Amino acid sequence: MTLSQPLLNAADDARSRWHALIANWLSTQSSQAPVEAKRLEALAAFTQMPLPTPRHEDWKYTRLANLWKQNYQWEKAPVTSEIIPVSGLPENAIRLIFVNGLFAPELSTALNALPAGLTINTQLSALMPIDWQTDDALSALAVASVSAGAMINIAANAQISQPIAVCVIGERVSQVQSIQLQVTVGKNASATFIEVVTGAEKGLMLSQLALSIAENAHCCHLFWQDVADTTYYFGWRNATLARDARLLQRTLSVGGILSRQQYTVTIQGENAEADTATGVVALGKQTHDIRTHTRHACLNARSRQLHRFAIGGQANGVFHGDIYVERGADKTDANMATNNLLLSPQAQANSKPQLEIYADDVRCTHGVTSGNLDEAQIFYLRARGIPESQARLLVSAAFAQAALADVPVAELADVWHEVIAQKLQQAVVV
Amino acid sequence: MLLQVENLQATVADKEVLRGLTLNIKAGEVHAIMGPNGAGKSSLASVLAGREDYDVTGGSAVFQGEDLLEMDPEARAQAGLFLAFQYPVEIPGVSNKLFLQTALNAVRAAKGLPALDMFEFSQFVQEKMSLLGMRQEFLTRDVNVGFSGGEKKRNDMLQMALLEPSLCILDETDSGLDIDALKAVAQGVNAMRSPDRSFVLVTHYQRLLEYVAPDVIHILYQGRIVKSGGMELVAQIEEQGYDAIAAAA
Amino acid sequence: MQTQVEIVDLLGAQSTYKEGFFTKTAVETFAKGLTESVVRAISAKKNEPQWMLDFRLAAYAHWLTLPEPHWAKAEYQPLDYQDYSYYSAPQCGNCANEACASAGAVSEPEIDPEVAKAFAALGIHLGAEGEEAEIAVDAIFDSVSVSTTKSRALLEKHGVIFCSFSEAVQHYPALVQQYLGTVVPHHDNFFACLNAAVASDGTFVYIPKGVSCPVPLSTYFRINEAKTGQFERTIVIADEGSSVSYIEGCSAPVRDSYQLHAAVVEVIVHADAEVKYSTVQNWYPGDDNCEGGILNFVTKRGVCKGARSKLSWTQAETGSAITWKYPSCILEGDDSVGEFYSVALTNRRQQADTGTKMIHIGKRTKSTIISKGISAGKSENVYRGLVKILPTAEGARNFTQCDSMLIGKQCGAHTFPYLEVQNATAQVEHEATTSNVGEDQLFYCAQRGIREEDAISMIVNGFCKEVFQKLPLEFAVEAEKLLAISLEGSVG
Repeated sequence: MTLSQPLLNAADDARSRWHALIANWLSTQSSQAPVEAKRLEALAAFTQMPLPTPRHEDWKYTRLANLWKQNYQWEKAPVTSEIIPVSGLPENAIRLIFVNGLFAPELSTALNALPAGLTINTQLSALMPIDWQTDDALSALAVASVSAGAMINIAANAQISQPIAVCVIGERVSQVQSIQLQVTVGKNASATFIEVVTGAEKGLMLSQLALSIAENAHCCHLFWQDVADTTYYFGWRNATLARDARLLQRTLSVGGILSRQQYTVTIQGENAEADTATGVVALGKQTHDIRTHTRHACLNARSRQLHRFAIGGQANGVFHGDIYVERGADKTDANMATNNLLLSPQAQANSKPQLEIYADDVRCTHGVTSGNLDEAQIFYLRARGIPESQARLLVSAAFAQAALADVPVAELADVWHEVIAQKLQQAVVV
Repeated sequence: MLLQVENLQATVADKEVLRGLTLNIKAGEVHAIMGPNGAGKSSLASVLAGREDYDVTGGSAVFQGEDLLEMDPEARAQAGLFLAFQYPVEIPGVSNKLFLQTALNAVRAAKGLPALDMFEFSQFVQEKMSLLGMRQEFLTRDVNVGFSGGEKKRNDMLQMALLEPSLCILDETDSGLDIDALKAVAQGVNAMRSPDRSFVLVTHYQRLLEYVAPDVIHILYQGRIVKSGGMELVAQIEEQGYDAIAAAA
Repeated sequence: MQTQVEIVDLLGAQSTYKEGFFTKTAVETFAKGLTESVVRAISAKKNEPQWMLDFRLAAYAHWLTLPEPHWAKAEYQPLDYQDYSYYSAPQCGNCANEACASAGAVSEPEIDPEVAKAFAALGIHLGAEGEEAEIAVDAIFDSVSVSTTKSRALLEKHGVIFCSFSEAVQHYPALVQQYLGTVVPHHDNFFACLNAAVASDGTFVYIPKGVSCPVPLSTYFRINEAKTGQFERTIVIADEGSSVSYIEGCSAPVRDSYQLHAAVVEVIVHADAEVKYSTVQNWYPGDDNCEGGILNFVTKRGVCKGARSKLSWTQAETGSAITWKYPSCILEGDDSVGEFYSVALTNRRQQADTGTKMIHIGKRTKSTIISKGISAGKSENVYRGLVKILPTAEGARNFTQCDSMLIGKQCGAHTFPYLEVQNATAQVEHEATTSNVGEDQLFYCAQRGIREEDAISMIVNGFCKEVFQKLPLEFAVEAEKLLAISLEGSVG
C-alpha cells in the first residue's frame, strides 16, 4: 500500500486539477445538446471512478504515473500554422479534417457534394454521444472532453468507392483533443474508412468510434496512430456486426509516449466475419498497449486477429486480447496470433491472450511468440552482400509489415510500409 | 591466385573443426572437397563465408589479395565470394524479388556500379531465370518459404547467377536432392563456369561430380586436406574408403 | 477401546466416486474455530520447538490481515473459517507421530487397524506388506501421518529421509528450519498463510548429494472427518546431483458440506538434481451439484536453485468441487529446466482454475508447459499461467501448449496466459486451441461398433496422452480410469 501511495496522490491531484479545467471550459461552451448533458454526466462520473493503478489487472503493464504529472489545457485555440496534409490518402478520398480539437471545414471536402448514399454531419449538436465504459475512468475523461465529432452514415445498398478519411491533427502544444465518430454502414452497403491521428506535442489525444455494420454490409477500417512522441493517446473503438457483415480492420501504431487502444468487436449476426490486424513499432521509451475484446454472440461467425509488435529501445509492447464465445455461439471459428520481435536488450513484451469459451462446437486458437531477429536469416542476407544493418532492417520491417500486407488502399499501404521502415531504421543500428 | 588458405585452424563451441587446412584455388578452377561426415567440410564453407559462431584460431585466408578473415560476411559477398547453403533459410514476409534486388544492388554498389531500377532489374532477373528454367512465381513468393528442397537450391543457383561472384562455394548443395534437382544445380554451375570464376564443391557424395567435372579433388579428413588429385581419387575412395586413404597419406 | 467398523461403500448410490466411504474410528478432533490459542494448541499437541510455533504465529497474524481471494474464475461463497476444525487425528496411543516424538527413532508404529483397512480399500498397504511394495508410502489421515513405509530401509541404505513433516520437525529440525518457508513464505497468499498457521502434517523428503532414490516416494492423503480442514505441508529437497520421483494421491469421503484442503508444497532442487513430482488428485467433488465437495486451494512451488537442475510437475486433476492450484517453477540456476504437464477434467458443476508459473531467472533456462483441460457437464475449467522472462535470463526458452476440450453445451473452457518477456534473446512460444469431441468422430466409432461413452473416453484419453505419458506407469493407468469414471454422465 505504501508503495502506491504517492502515485494515487498524483492521480487524485490530476483528477481535481483536470476536473476544474474541464468544468471551466464547459462553462464557456454554448448549448450543444445532447453532447452537453453527456459531457457533464461523464465529468461527474470521472470524479467518482477509481483511477487506474498498476495493481489493477487491466493496468498491470501500462503505467500512467507520468500522465498524472502533465499539464493540459481544454480551451480550443485556432490554427496558427500551415497544416501539412496527411500522406497516404488517395487523391479521391473524402476528407474530414479536425485540427486542435475542432472541425476544419476549409481543409475538408465540401459536405454538400458527397456521393449518393453517404451523409456526414459534423455539427456537434447533431452528435449522438458515445457512452463511457463504466470500468474505465479514462473513457469518462474522453467523453467529458469531447469537442468535435462526426456522424457518418452510409445508406443501405450504397457502394462508396471513395475512401472516407478522418484526420485528427494536433498543432498546438499541451492540448486535450477528444473526438467521437459514429459510423453506420447500412444493409448491403460497402465503404472504406480511414482514421489518422497525428501531431500534438505533449498533448492528450482521445478518440472514440462506434461502428455499426448492418446485414451483409462490408466495411474496411484503417487506422493510423502517429501522434508526437511526447503525447498520450487513448482510443476506444467498438464495432458491431450483423448477419453476413464483414469487417476488415488494420491498424498501424507508431506514435506517442504511451498509446493504448481498445478494440471491441461484437459479432451479433450469423456468418459475420471480422478480420483485425495491427502493426506496432514501439521504440525509445514508448508503451504501446493494444487491447482487443472479440465477442461471438451467434452461430457460425469467424474472427481472425494478427498483432505484430516490433519493439526496440526501452519500449514496452503490451497486448491483451480476449475472445469470448457465448453459450450457443456454435461453429465459431476464432483465432488470434500475437508476435513480438524484441530488437534491443531492454525492450519488453507483455502479452495476455485469453479465451473464454461457453460453446462446445467451436474452433478457437491463440498463439504468441516472442523472440529476437533470427540470426540465421541475417547471416543469409549478409552472405548475399547485404550490409548487416540493412539486413536487420529488412527482416524487422518485413516482420511488422506482414501484419499490414493486405491493406486495400494502395497509397496508404505504401506509406505505411515506408513509415515502418523509417521508424525501424533507428532501432536496428548495429 | 584467387584464394589462398594457409594452415587454417578453427573451432566451434570450443571444438576443433579445422586443424591446419591448406588450399589454393586459381581463377577458373573447379575444386571438389570430399570427406566423411564430421571431417570439417561444412566448417570450411562456414569459416570462408564468415559465420560468426566459428572462431578462427590460426592460419590465414587471402581472397583476391585481401585478408578474407578480416572481412564482414557481407563484405566477402560483395567481394565476390558466394556460399550456396546446405540449408537455405526461410524469411517470411520478404519477397524473393525484394531480396534479390536488395542483394544485387548491394553487390553492385560495392563494385562502384549504379543500382538497377525496377525495370532494369526485372529484365536482368528474367534473363537469368529463363537461363535456369525457372517460373515467374518464384519472384513473388517469400524467400524460401514453403519451397521444396529442390526449389530452395534452385533459388540459391538463381542468386549465384545474379550476383556473378568470382568464387562459388557449394556447401553440400547436393545432399537430399532428387536427380532432377541435382541436374538443375549442375546445370547452374556449368552454365556459369568461366575462365575467371572458380568453384568449390563441398560434397559427401560422388553423384554431383558425374555432372560437374572438377579439376582437382581434395580429401578432407579430420580438419585437414590429406590428399589431392584428379578424378582417379573418386574411384579410390569408392574402393578403399576415407580411413584407409587418410592412413596411407 | 471400542472401534466401530463401518465402511460405507457408496458405489451403488454414488457410482461416480468410489473412494467415498467413511471410516468410523475413534478420533481426537479439536473444537471448531480458529484463534491464536488453537494455533498454539496444534503446536503443543505436536510438541513443536519454539521456532515452529513462531512460524505459525507469524503466519496467523498475517493471515488475519488478508482478504479471502476471489479473483479466480471459481465461484464460492465466502467460507466461515470458524466453522472448521483445525486438528483431527485417529485416537491411537501409538500413532506414528507421537511414537516418533517420544521414542526418538524411526520406529514401527502400531497403526489403527481401521485406518489401515481404509487405506487398504484404496489400494495402499501399510505395515509389513507395505515394506515389500515397489513404492514407499507416507499415509496421511486427516491431520496426521499414520504410517510411513520403507523409511528405515531408505535411511539406512541410502541416507534418504522420507518421513512425515511432524517427524521431521522433531528429528531434523535444522534441515526443516533451513528450508521451511523459503519457497513459499508464510505470508505468500491467503491460503498459504492459513496453511502455515495450522499446518497439520505432510511429508518431508531429503535426498542426499548424488543419490538417486531407488523407489518412487509417495504420499496418500485422506480427509475423513466432517468439517475438517487438511493443511499438509510438504517439503522435498533434492541435494546436488540427486534425483527422486515423488507421487501424491488423495481422496475423501462423501460429505454434505465443503471440506477445506489448503496444502503447501515446497520443492528445492540443487545443482544437477532432478525432481519429478506427480499428483493424481481425486478429492470428493460433491454431489451432482458439487455441493459438499472438497475445496482444494493449494500452493505448490519449486525452486531450481542450482545449475542444470530440473523440476517436473505432472498432475491429473479430476476431483474436488473447486481446484485452485498453480504448481510453479522458479528457474534460478543456469540451464535449469522446469516442466508442467497437466490434465484437468471437470464435470457436473466442478470448477478448476489451474496452471503454472515459470519464472526464468538463470541463463538458458528452459520451460515446457503442456496443459489439457476437459470440460463436461456444467463445469468451468480454466488454465491460468505465467511465463516470465527476467532480464538476466539470457537465451531462455519456453514452449507452452494449452488445449481445451469441451463436451456438451453447458460447460466453459477458458485460457488466461500471461507472457512477460524482458530479455530479447529469449524465445517464447505459446499456443492454445479449443476443440470438441466431434460428431463425425463419434459416428465413425459408432459405425465400428464402439459405444458412445467408450468413444468419448477413448478420444479424451488420446487428447491427454502427451501428459499421461509423463506419469509413472501405474498412476497413468489410474488416471485413465479416473477420467473414464469422471466422464460418466457427461453426454446426453
